[in-house]
Amino acid sequence: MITRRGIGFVLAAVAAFFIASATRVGWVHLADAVLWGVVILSAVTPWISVYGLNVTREKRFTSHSNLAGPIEGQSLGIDLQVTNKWWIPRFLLNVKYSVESQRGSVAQSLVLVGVGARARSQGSTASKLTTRGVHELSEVTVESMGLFGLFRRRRNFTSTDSVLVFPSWENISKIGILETSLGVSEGVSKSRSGTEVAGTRRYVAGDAYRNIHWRNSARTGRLAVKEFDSWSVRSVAILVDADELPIRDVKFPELDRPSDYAVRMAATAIVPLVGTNGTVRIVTTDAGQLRTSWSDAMIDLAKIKDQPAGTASLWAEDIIGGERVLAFVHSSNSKLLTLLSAMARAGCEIAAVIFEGFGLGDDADSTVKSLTSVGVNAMSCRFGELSDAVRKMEFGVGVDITTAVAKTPSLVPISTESEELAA
Amino acid sequence: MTTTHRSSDSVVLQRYESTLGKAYRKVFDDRPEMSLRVRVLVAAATIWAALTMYFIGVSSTIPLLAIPVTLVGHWVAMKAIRKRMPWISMMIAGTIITVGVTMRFELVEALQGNRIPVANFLLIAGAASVFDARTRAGLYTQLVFSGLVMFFTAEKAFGNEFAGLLGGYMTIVVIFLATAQYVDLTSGASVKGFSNRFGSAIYWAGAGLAVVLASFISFMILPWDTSHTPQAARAAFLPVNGQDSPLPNIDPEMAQSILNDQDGQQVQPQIDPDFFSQGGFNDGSAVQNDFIGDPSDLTSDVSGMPLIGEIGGGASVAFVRSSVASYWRGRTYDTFDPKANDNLGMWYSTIKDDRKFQSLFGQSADATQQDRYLQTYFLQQNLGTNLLTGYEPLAIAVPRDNRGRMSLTPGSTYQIVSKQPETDPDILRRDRAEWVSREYGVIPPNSHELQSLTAALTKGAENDFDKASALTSYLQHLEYDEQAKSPLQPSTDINRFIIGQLPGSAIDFATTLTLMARSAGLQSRVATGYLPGQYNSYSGASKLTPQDAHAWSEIYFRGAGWIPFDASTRSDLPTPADLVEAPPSGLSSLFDQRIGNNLAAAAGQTPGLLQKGFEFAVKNGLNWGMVVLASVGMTVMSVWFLFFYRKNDSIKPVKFAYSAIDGNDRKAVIAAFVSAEKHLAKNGFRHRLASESYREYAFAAQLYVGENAEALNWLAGAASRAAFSSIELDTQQVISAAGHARDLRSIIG
Repeated sequence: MITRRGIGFVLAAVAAFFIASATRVGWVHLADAVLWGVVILSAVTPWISVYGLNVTREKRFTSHSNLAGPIEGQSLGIDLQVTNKWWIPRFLLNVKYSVESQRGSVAQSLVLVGVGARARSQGSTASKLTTRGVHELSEVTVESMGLFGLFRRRRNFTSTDSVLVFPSWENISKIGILETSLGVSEGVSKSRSGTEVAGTRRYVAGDAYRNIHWRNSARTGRLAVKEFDSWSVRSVAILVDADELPIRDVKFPELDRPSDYAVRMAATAIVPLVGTNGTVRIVTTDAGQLRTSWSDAMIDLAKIKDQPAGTASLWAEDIIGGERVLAFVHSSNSKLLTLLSAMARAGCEIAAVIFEGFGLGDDADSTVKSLTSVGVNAMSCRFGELSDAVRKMEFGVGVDITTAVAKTPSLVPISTESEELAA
Repeated sequence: MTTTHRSSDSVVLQRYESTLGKAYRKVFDDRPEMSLRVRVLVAAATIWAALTMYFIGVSSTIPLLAIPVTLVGHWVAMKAIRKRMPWISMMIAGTIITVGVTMRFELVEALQGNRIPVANFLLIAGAASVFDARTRAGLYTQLVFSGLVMFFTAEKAFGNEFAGLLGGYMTIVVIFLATAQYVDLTSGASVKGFSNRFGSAIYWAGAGLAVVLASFISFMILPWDTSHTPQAARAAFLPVNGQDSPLPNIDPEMAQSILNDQDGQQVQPQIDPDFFSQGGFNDGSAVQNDFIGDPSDLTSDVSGMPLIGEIGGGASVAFVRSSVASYWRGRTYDTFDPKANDNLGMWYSTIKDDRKFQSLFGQSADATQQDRYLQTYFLQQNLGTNLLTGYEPLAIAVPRDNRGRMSLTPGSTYQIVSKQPETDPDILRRDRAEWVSREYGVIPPNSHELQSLTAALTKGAENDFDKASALTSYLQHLEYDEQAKSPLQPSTDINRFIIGQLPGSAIDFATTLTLMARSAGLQSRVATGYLPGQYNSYSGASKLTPQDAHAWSEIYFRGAGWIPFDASTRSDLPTPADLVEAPPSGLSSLFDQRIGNNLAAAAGQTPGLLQKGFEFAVKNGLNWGMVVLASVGMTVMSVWFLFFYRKNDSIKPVKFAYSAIDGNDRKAVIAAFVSAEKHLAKNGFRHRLASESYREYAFAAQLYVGENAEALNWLAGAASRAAFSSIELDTQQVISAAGHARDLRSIIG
């Protein structure tokens, strides 16, 4: 196929030919011969460059905690190996593929300047994975445009592939806002039956002092904390607001969206929930499955896509009565917030993180107040302050984070561009 | 790395951009071609083109001046890359206009066939254009212009050494192409190159060799026949030699016997009386001529311009491009002084040639007629006022000096439309001689032998053309003096020459034929000029050297005018095999064909008013018109720069495609923001920059608006949503937006 540059060049060569023929000035013929020589060379070489090749593609990423895929923010390395099966050396091969995610498509290109006769050449490309979800890897295409780029010839190699990218998270020890939701709610009667002490365990940094089991501690000589059966036997429904936010300025499409924050905080929350033999359920379109495995829950979270406005409120209708709810909602999603208020009034135990700062008018303070008034343990998370919000979620609303935090090392610290920008 | 948005995205993503703007951005937006190595290659191409002009000797000052300007331009552009610098645009436009005004007369010379001033102009314009740092337009402008410079240079490249210069230029162009492609290919990609420099060197050497081979193959297979271009057409010159010639066969021995037998009495010509009836009229005797001048008529004190045998030294006199390769005629001579030049004789031009030639713009110079042809002359020597032409010049475009005199200095170029003479023997036989001037009929005293032989040769001729043909045919039996110092210097005296005792030069042949024609009662004269010359298929031009100088005779006919007769037998005359129509050659011919076969035809086909306007512009208008244009342009740009231009800001507001936004409410919200923005700009802040979003603008303005920043932020957010979001706006938002805008205006203003 001829390229735009090739069209212009061939037109110039044709024009020069007619000028030379009309003027009989041999110099123009000489120059025209060079132009046609370039055209011939450009037309022939792409055809003989893309046949007789074999291409393989290997994915390469760092696996964390036995997850079957990379984590957002990391790079996905692709090793491309081109084998020349002929005795003709190949030059200027452009090995291309694209990585398509829910946020867009990124083209990757590896230029092999030369592949020797019956030889093999290998190169790598790396894509930064900016978002979670399934990333489709297109077929690998080998393209040759010759020395001058006047003609193009492509051939497809390998089949399509995909990789599931997991959201980033932090390791936290508990969900403070779920604990405090039982005590701070006013005007709502709470049953104590679900908070009976089920046993004790050794104290670890970060455990609340009020949960220390002093009697056992004195008896054994080691600090022991009480374990409540509610965290282990009752499942937590995690509701993630992945509705598209229509008011973003398209000038910064690469910035995080509320759904990104919501999924990351949800991924962070399931660490202590399933780590204590708990059960979580990621509420999605298909009502979600009960998960006792952290990796299964992570897969559910990774597959959450940005959805049209109103989808999250449809998910919320699948929440079972009596199920404790941990919701991550954007402050402008009034429909979902209204639904949560109604559920709280109906007696559901709900803790909610309300996001703000992603667009003008998305004020979380008033939302938090109104939710709190109906018994929801709500907290806010501003754009660019995800790490602080995680701390707040861990230790509960009203706790001085600077004194209470005894940070545990995070496997995959949440670090986003938006936080850097906000800083 | 490119990112594409999902098509399912429901928001309106596109900021408004006109079709022209999109095309401009696509073509001229910053691309890898802005890289240093590509820029270096473009500069190299220009420098090479400039040096080519210098080496072929057509121009030196401007090309050499363009080189440093080009280098400075590229340096400035690299320093200021991607910056918006209006003063550079002003400088580029101002330079081009100023140079155009300064070179206006030189540029008009292009109409006379001299394209080198245009090449000079392109060099300067290209050098100025590379100062452009914002886009790559300047880069490609200079590359294209340098190619055109080489194109125009090729028109004046007559020597084969141009092959090296052209090869060098094409090499740079090919390297540019390969480099641009490599930069494009590797931009944003992972690159795995060769493992060592040796491999890289081998690759590039192989690529170069492949290009050379492919070019050679192309050269061999392209259907071009320039090298087989016929040398010249001599159809315009009589007589026609060959077996079909109707001329009597009298050799020198027979002539000698004729002269011996005359012995003071009337000689009986040894010509078959029926000979002339074979191809001509047979209905009467030859036309009686009463125009033979008496020997006493010869002016004793000959004055006028003498024929000089020596025509300057040097390798070449001129180069000619013409669709017909005829003899190139210079001056004509009418008076012969037999005693001059040690009794060898000397011709003088005593009749003043006061013909008024048409301008090439005249309709009468239409070269589309079959008997007319255009020639372009490239002078290599100073020919003074010796204007070389085709056969009968009808219209000329000649460079002139400040006093309006022809200025045929070395390097000058001029064009002429000529008319070919009548060569049909049948027509000429019906024609007859005509009295023109006494000088054309005078023969020297004591020319009895010449007269006797003429009488013998023409006895029985039935018309004047047959007389001339008989005389020419006889002289073609005589020997040419190949050792002559110059074709225009006599080798012997006439009496010994006409009986074949001694060989003669071209002027001897011409003198003898002219005088014999006069003896036969015909009006005749000697013409000098050049043979068609050596045709170079690569340059498409014929090279005229001093050795090509030639002389021949012209005989006047009432209807046909002056008809050339060449009796010489020099060995380098064009052969009958050359009597083929020569193809058009030369860029000049092409240009002329493109605008209507030639300039004259173009002018002829132009509506009268337009033609007159164009002629007026050429004569008068370009001078003041260009000055006024340049002055107004520079003034406007200066005023704008001094009073309206702000260095770092662009006051060009951003426009949105309102058609892409549904509903009047959205427009109303945006309009509210724009009203606030205008108010801010009017009161000392600025307009929103083209690259600035609503919110960025609000952020930038928050210090200026103080406590009203919140309202402005809200307004910016609403406007952003109205422009980009797909969500519906309610009336309340519109009202709020209008209210905020009103409040802002009242507070600020």
